[in-house]
Amino acid sequence: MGLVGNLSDLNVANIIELNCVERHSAQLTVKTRSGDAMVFFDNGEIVHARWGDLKGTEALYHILRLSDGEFHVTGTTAPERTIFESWKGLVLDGMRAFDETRRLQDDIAQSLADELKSLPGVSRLLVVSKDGTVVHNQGGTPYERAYALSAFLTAQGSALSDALHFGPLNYAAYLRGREKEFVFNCDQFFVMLAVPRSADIRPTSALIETIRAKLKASENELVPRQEAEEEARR
Amino acid sequence: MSAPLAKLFTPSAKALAEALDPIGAMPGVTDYLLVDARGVPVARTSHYGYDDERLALATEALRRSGLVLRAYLGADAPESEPLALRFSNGWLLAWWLGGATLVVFGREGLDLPTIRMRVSIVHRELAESRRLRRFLASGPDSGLDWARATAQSDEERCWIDTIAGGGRDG
Repeated sequence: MGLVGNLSDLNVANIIELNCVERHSAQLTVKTRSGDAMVFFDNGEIVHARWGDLKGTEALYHILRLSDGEFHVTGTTAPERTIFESWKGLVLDGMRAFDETRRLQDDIAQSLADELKSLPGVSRLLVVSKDGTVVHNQGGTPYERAYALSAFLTAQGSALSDALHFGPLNYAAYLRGREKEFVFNCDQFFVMLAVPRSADIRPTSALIETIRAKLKASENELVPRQEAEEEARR
Repeated sequence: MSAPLAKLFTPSAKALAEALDPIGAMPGVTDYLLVDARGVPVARTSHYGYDDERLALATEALRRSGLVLRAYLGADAPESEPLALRFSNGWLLAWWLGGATLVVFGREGLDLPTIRMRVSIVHRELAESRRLRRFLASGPDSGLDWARATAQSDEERCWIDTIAGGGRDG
């Protein structure tokens, strides 16, 4: 115990396997931008997981998707029990759901980038998944600050929407030198795109709304399908 | 003219209030609001429809957005151009006037060029009055440190650090 490292070197499934095979009672903590993600082991079984508002298997499945972040394992007892299934089945189901989600996310990211590239005059286009992975970067935007700004402005947009009942934020736009930059989030992605300053914003605005509506429709199709698949597996 | 601006009682304050007033009557505009560098409202439309608590939350989020966006843009940050936020039920436009924040609340049919022209008059009034500029820009909580301190989560603080730490061009 006392294991410390980064998920880029040792993934969550490996850490779980290590603790379960060795029959440890311990706590895995992963530092993330959304707070600490925690998995608790008792005598080699996963008994509890928590990440933000999520608890139990739902939290565990999300934690299994983490691919980067510092972690440490300490000998702590679980504060409660929310997981009762065998660790092997949980990890397998979690990884299968992760692979399926990743494949769908890749498809979504690709179609998102294709649609946005079709806008006239797009000089730069950056699509970053919410975990910070760059999935498309046309025009070489320095992505770390752009990602941070996109995430920050969309978070402020949510706060404003809550305070003023303006409905969801469609996008934020501002001028940067000779370009107009649009920032918005779509599904699991943050998008930043730049068009010439003189460009009419209406086509961009309309396309963003169309894409968002399409993603919402595909999400509505996907969720019942995943639930049906999960039910069939049970 | 709103009370704080009236207290200044200078020709410049009067001119500024007169420059702001027509914004509230423009097509698509529902309200406008000018807050100083501490977030205190100094001028707004008389029919303003939001309660103080929601208004404070909204102006705080906008001031934070402005500070962080300007840190991101660095030398590219034009004071004459707004941050535009398009929501499904409306618009918010925010300008930074020497530390103060002018917010325009809008709906469909917003005439941005006309609003921009009117805001340029506000800029001119500000440029001509050092006293007015000092009044609007005063306050200890007008920098990135304030934005960081009032951030709503560790995640937000992390984003601010990334943006502020990257220099002008990242």
